[in-house]
Amino acid sequence: MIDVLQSSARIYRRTLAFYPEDLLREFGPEMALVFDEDLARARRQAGMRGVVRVWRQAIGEFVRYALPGRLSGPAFRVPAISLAVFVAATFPQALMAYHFKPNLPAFFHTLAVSLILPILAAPAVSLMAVWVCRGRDALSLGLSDAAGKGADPCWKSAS
Amino acid sequence: MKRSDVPLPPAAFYILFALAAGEKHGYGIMQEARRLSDERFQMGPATLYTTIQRLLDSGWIAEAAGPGDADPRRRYYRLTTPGRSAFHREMERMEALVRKSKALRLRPMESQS
Repeated sequence: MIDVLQSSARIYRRTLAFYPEDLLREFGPEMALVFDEDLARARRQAGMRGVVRVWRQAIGEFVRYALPGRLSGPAFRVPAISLAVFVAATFPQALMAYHFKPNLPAFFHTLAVSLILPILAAPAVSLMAVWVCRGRDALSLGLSDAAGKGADPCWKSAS
Repeated sequence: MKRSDVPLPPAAFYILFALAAGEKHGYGIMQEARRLSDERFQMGPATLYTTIQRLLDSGWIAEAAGPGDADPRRRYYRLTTPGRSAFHREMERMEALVRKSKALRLRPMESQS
C-alpha cells in the first residue's frame, strides 16, 4: 500500500509539468505536498477506493487546467500541424504505391520515392506551422521573441 | 476577481469561508472546505491553488506568517478586509435567497412535509 502512495506521488509530480508555468512556479511544491497529504488521508479513511477517488479528481483537474494550456501552445501545435500536413501528403502516395505494386521490393522502392518529397518539404511545412502559430514575425525574430505574446493565441495562458 | 463576481465560484466561496475563522495553509483550507460542505464539495490541488492565485491577485486573501513551528514547505493564507467584505456579501446574497424562497414556500423540505 505504501508503494501505491509513493508511485502516485511520483506520477503526480510528473503530471505537474503540464500545468501552466506561472501556477507551477508559484505553487508547484505546495500542490505536490497537498496531493500527498490528501492521498494519504483518503487511503487511511477509505482504502483503495479513496485512492481511486483522489486520482479521479486529479485526472479531472489535469483535463481542466493542464491540457487546454498545452494544446494551444506552440510545443504541441507546430509538430501537430507538421504531422498532419506530412500524413496528408504521404498517405495518398503510399496508398497508390500499394494499389499498383508489381511486387514487394518495387512497392518499397515506390514508397521510398514517394516519401522523398514530403521529407524534403518538412522544413518548409514546419516553418509554415510556426508562422500559423506565432505570426510572420516569428520567422525573422526567432521563437524566443516576446513581442508577439500578447496578441498570439499560442501563448494564451490557461487562465 | 472583481467586486461584481457574485455569486462566487464554489471554490472561491469555500476558500473564503475556510479562512473566515483564521489563517490556514493549503491543505488546511482543503480539509476545512470539505468539513464546511459536509463532504459535498471537494477540490484537488489544482483547483485549490488556481483559485488561491486568483484570490491573491484580487487582494481578497494574503499570505500570512503562520505559527512559529510551521512546516517551512507550507504557506499560510488569511482573509483581507476586502475578502471578508466579499464573503459577507455572498453570505447576505444567500440569506436573501433563502428568505425569498421561504416567503414563497418554495423550500423543498417544507413542501414535502
